[in-house]
Amino acid sequence: MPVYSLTQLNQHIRETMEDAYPESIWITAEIASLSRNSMSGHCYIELIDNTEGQQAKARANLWKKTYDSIIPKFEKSTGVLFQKGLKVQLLAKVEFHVQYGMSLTVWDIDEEFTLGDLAHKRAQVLRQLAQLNLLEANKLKLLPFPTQRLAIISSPTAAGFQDFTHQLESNAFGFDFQWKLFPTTMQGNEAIQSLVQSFQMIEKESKSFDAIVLIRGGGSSLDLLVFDELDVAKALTNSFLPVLTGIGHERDDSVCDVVANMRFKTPTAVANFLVERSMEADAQVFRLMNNIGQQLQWRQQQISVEFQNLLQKTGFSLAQKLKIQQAVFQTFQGRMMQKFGKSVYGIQEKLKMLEAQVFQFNPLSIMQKGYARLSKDGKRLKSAKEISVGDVFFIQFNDGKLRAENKGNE
Amino acid sequence: MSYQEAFAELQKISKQLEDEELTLDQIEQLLSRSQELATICQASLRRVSDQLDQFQQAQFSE
Repeated sequence: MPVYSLTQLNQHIRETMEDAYPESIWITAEIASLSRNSMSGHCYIELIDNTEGQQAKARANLWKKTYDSIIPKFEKSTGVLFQKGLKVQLLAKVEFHVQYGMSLTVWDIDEEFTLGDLAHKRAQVLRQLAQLNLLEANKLKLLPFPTQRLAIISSPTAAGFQDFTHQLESNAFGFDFQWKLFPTTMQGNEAIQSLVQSFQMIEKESKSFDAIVLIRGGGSSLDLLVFDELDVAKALTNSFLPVLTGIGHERDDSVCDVVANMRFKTPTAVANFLVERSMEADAQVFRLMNNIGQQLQWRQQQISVEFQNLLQKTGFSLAQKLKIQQAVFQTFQGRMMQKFGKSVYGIQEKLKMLEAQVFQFNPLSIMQKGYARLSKDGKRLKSAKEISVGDVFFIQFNDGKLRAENKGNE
Repeated sequence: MSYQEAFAELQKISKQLEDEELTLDQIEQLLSRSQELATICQASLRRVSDQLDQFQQAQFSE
C-alpha cells in the first residue's frame, strides 16, 4: 500500500475536486458569521446549513470586486443588509488549497432566494398575529380628521425624518402640524427593544396625538428586518393610536406595513397624505359656507317676490308703493348684504384660490378626484376666454391625454 | 373648540337654514354663528389656533 505525504494527499484532493467541480455551482446556506477587511475590502464568510439533520460548515470568500458589483444591488433589492443570519443562495466555485483546505469563492448571489425566505418568515409572523387576533386591531382605529398632531417614531438623524418634517413644515397652506419625535434606534441589536419602548412611551401621552408615524431612516440604512419582528408588530397593533408607516420597500411590505392603519412607501408620501387631509378639511368648510351663502341668496330673492306681491294688494298709490319698496329694501337688502353678501363673495374667492393651490400642490392626486388639466400650445389654460372656437387644446387626465377642439361656447 | 366640533355645528346650522319658517333675525344669528365657526375651523387647521385659544381663554377669565 502506497504511503502519501500530507502535501501529496492534499494535492490529490485538489485535483479530484477540480475534476468533480469544474464549474461554479449554486449553493444554499445561512451566513453564520461574516467579516470584511476594511483595508482590502475582501469579505470572509462562514456558511452553515442544518437542512439535512446535521450541521454542515464551509468558508467562503467574496473578493472586493465581486462584493462591490453584487452586494449593494442585493441589499437595495431585498431591503436587508448582507449580514449574519441571512439565508442566501450563492454561485460559488469549490476550491481546495493545499495549505488552507476547502473554501468557496463567491461569484454571484440570488436575490429571489433571500426574498423568498424573508417572505416565508413574514408569513409566519403574520400567522402568529392572526392567532392573537392582532392582524386588524390597528386598522380598526379611527384616524382623526384632520390628522395634525403626530407622534413620530424615527431616528433623529435619519434622512427620512428630515424629509418628513420638512414636507410638513413647508406646506403651502400654513397648516399647523404639531409633532413630537420619540428618538428610536432603527437597526442593530437594540432596535427591537428601542421600537417597543417608543410605542410604550407614546401610549402614556396618547391623548396629545392623533396618530403615530413610523418612518425609516432612508439613505444607507436599508435594514428593514426589524419591521418583520413579532414583538415590534405586536407593539404596533396594540397601540391605542392609529399608526401610519413610511418604511415601505420597493418590492415587499414589511409585517409592520401590513398591520398598520395605513402604509406608505416613503416618509414624504406620509407627509403628503397628511397635508392633503388638512386641505380636504379646509375645503369642506368652504363648500359648506358656499352652500349656506347660496341658500340665503335664494331666500333673499324669495322674500323680495313675496314682499312685492303683498305690496300690490294694498291700496297705496304707485308713488307711495315705490317709496315704501325703496325704504324697505334699502334696510332689508342692506342688512342681508352686510351680513352675508360680502361673505358669500369672500368664500367664492377663497374657493377659487384654494382650487388653484390644490392644482399647484399635487395635480395628479387632484386629477384622480375627477379634475382635469387643460393646455394649449404647451401652456396651461385658466379661462374659457383663452380658447377661441375651432382652437385645438389638450385635456390631461391622470391616466391619459385627449386632444379636443372647441365647437363653440355654451 | 376643535375643528371637528366646529364643523359638526356648522353642518347643523346649514340644515337649520333650510327651515323656511325662520325669521330674518334668526337667519342673521345663524349666519353670524356660521361665520364664527368657519373661522374657528380654518384657524384650528393653521398656526393661529393657539392664539385663538389664548384669546378665548382670556375672554372667559375676564
